[in-house]
Amino acid sequence: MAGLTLRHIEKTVGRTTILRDVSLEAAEGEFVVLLGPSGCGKSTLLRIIAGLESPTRGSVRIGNRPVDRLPPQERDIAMVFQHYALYPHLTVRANLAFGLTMRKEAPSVIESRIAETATLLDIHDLLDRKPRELSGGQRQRVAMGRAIVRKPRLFLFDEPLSNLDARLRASMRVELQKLHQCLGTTTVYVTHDQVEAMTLGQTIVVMNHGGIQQIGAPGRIYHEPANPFVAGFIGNPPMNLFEGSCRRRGRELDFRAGALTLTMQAPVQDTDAAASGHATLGLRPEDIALAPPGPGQSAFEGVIDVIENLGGDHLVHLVVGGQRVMVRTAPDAARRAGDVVTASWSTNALHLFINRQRVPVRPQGP
Amino acid sequence: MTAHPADRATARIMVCPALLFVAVFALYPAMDSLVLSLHRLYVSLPGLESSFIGFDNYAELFRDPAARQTFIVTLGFVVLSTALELLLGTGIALVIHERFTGRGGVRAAVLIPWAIPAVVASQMWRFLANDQYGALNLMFFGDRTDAYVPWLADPWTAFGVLVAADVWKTSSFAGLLILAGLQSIPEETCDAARIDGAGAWQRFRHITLPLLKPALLAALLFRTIDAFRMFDLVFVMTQGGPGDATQVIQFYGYKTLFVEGRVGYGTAVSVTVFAATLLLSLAYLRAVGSTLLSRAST
Repeated sequence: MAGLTLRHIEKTVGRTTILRDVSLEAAEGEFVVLLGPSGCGKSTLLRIIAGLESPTRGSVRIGNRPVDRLPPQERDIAMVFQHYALYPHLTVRANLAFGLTMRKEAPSVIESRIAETATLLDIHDLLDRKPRELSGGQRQRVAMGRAIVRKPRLFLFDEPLSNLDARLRASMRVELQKLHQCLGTTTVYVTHDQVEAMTLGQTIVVMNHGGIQQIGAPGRIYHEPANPFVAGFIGNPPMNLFEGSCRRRGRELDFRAGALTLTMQAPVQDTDAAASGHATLGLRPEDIALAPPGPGQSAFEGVIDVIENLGGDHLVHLVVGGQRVMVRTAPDAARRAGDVVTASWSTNALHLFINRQRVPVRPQGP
Repeated sequence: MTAHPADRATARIMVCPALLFVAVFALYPAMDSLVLSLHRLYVSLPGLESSFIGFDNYAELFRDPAARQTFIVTLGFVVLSTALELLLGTGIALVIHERFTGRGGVRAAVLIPWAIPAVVASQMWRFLANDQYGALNLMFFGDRTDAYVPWLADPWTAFGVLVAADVWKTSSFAGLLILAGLQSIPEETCDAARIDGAGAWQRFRHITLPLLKPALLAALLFRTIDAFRMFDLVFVMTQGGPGDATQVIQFYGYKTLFVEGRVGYGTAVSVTVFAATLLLSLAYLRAVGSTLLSRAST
């Protein structure tokens, strides 16, 4: 059964289009992450699901129930906000109880739910404190507790970890994962942090300029990005992208970007027109080696500009024919800025986008 | 870190003009008033020299039935006008806090009564309450001139018109203070309450109102002090009448001092108003200050 269904959601404010034709389906119990840069419309989409904003067009169903005409309080959802949005004048206990009291639950039910939630999140000691007496991480827990305590049909998270330091963020990610495994509630989680998206999401929805760029499992998004935007957005350090053009010559495909030229085997099913035109070639820094090419590999020469020491790895910035290329490689003390090196890669690792669409690439045949 | 002695000297010199200004125009008159209030002095009888009588003027003030009456009228005026102003101010603030077309115009319009000079506003209300051609009678009774009410000639209606004029003039100021408080409540908090199931009234009752407390206290402080010191409306509209029905303490002080020429006694009335206002301010500041501090550390 579907946990959440969005159909052709559009949102315009004045002449500005915030969301364009967004359709999405999340299975019951699925953890969906909306990922995209600031201003891509992901938070607006979340607010539309919550009922805090209305779409200009389109429909929202939670479970099998259309909720377009329902106010937030009748949608059976809970939301965790970026700045926690705890009620500052109430104790943690009263914060947790607020939603249940508004829904006129019996005091005994409220007490047992609070106890249950406090145990789950280990916040027993905080129950009689006010939010101002809590640390950032504790406030985050209480905000999650306030969402959990009502046992809603759908959880909505709006960049909930963005105000925490890196260490706390990492531990909260793990806790969120455990919590989802324990509760199994359908969850929509908004973030611009790809690490959060990759680690938490069962499905990632990559958004840009108000539209969905790609929907898929984290592995698929990483290994088979649908277009140059997704390719460049997912991965840290980002994928090297070479803007150029492609031309089909029989069974071969020539790619040219400045001084860089490559020949690949053309996709069988594509026509000449589909396989020619503006093209972007992508290569992840970790798929390039600073070594002479082996069998079935291609190579180019470049000059080392900067070497960044990441601890376990080095990030080498090369200049190749006027273009910067990043290579993630094992540390080598002998390497220096200004050295001319050979960078090699396997054609299997290439990502080719013609007219901004992914085209499967195969190594050139023997 | 301690300041360099030369810096401290410069700082003292820089502060001097302001200090001098306050000393000459605020401190000296206040102190002189206090001294005057301990003397028996009549403007109309210069032959009688000023004589020190200790706290006799204050003792007389507490025995004086006219003064007691003015205290009751003042208290009634303060309680009623402040309560109505806060109530109306909250309503105004809630309306102009909402997003709607023409909100800027409405916000400006709401402030007009506050911007009108007090004497002009008082004169305007005197006209409105006139028993023959006043708009109040026209509004309530239309052509039935036999039913027209002499608003300012009846003790209760005169008091009512005074309160109405004050509420009309200063509710928007209270509204402005409360609006500032409303704007400091994060939108996320209200959204969270909506999702938690709170309807409009419940959100107002359980979230907005408690979080508005510092702003409400600030508005209460300003309005109470102002209402306690109210003078201009009475001076222009009723001169304290009919009888002593609208004679507030500040006007009583003016009357004894400038009309009757009882400088010592009149000053004792003024000093009492000053002391009451100071005490009120300190009490409110204590309450508002602690609330604000607790909010700031949230």
